[in-house]
Amino acid sequence: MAGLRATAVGSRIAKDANSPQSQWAAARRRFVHSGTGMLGAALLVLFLLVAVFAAQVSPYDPIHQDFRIERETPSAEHLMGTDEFGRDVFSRVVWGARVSLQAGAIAASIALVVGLALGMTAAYYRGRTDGLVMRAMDVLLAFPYLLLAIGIVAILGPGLLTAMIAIGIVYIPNYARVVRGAVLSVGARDFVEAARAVGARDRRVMWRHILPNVLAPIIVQATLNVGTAIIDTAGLSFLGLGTQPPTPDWGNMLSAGRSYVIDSPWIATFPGLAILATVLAFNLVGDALRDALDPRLL
Amino acid sequence: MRGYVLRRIAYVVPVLLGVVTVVFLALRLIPGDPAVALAGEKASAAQIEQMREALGLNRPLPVQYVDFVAHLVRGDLGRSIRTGGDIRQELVENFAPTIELSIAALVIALAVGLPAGVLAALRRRTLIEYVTMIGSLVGISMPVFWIGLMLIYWLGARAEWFPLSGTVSAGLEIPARTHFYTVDGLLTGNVAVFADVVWHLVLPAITLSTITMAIVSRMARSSMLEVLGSEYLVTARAKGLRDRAVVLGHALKNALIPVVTVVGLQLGALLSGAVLTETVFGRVGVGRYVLNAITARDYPVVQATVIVVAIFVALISIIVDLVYAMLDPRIRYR
Repeated sequence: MAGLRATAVGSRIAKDANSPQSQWAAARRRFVHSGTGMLGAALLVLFLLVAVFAAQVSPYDPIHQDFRIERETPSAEHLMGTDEFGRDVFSRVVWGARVSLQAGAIAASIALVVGLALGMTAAYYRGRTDGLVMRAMDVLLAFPYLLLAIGIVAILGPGLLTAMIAIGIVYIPNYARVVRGAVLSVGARDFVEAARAVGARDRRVMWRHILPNVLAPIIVQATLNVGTAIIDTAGLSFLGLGTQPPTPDWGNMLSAGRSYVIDSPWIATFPGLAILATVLAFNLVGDALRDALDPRLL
Repeated sequence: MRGYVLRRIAYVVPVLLGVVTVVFLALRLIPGDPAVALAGEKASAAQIEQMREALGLNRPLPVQYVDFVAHLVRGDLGRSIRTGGDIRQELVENFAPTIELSIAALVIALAVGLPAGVLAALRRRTLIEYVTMIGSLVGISMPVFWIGLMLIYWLGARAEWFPLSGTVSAGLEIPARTHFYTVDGLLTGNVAVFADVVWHLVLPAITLSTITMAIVSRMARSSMLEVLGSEYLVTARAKGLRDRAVVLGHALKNALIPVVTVVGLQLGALLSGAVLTETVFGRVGVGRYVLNAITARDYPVVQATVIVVAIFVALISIIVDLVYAMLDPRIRYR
């Protein structure tokens, strides 16, 4: 009972020390007033809706082949033309949004969860744990990231799932470093000491008291990271190591489009524009979030 | 300064040992026995066993590891399963063109990105700043392999300014010496080859330069803005120095320091982008080399390539750090 009350006091101290409510409210106000951030957010909502309602949005079956209409130029019937198997490029871009957005989000989530745990552990326990974790991160960072991802896919076998895991692993050090830096600076503050003094366990101090105070840089990092994860998983698919045909994915559509880029450039143009628009939206939102949250810790 | 250099090197050695260990272990976890892959699907059990023996795969893992590290230290990277060739030689042949492409891309990125970023900081709220900022935002949002395809279509196929793919025109022979094709062309005084190689290099180099260019221009702008607001610049102006002297003599030098770091951090990204760029343009390079090796389960090639590239990146980053320390004395005394 005493322990319960003590931790309640601890978390109230944490709240008062930073007055999180007003801080987040101010950040939200700043974000809403940034034109570019809202534009990015609107685009993201649009792309998400397209991905969710792919079946309703796409006019044709994305994997239905029709050799009578192969490689037709964009027209009223086929807005983005047809590909080398007579499939509607627009429908494939729409369905590809599903695969690509998922791939980016899942890869970034893997990196976020593992990197957060590692960075938090390293900074909280310091000393040898810190040294060990951060040296391991240095080893991961020593590889050019795509080469590392290719190596991981080589071990796990090609496919969308392994591509997401590979890209996720490659990004772990970025999160671990950001989280570690933030936790180190927050961990020295009085409210953390207070929580410990009243007997809160390590895990509780980490997740209830420290985490809320380091969220800002992590949110910014994660937003920007989903964008790069979309590009990089598409890159693996482009190399034939990610999503396998006939499943539409922006990366493997570009890979197929490469062979026909001279005569039928639309096959490669539109999936690339889709990637550009999506990643741009994530970058706009990420940059606006950074300005809004003003994470001095980044 | 010497203490700093030694500390920096002492820091890198355990990391590289970690790299070697991780690669060694990881490649032994690959599903599919390389001995089977090599002996062929129809090989008898005895033949496969013989192959395992020849590859040293039947020895205990620690023995393999020590043997592997010992060979590595002597610069012996083993033989390719697929081609039977000396991997060190093959790597030189394939890595040099990749480095050449990366250097060309870096030169373009700096030549465009630096002035753009600096000008954007000096001419705030003008067209220059908006174009630079929007350009860099779009630049980091595009996949390099798509940029490559679009350049092939618009500047290669439509405008016919540049070749569509490859390293050199058919019929021309590159005299192989350093395997840096432009250098080889110059060394042998073969101007036709040199010009042709450069002509083939333009589109891939632009493709690969975009992301670095975007990051360099962003970094140059923000660091220039920071420096322009600092007190010593106010002092410089108060002394009566002309604008030009203030910007070129005082601001630029200090603003460049963070840019050097960013360039150092970009090397791994450049090599990653090079793998994709080479695939798009069908160029010889480390990307194609390692992708072919993976398809063929040629694990000595994969492990050697990954390790050599990691060591290369580590060495370059040490050099970048040393340049950084020379530019900024504060670093040395940390």
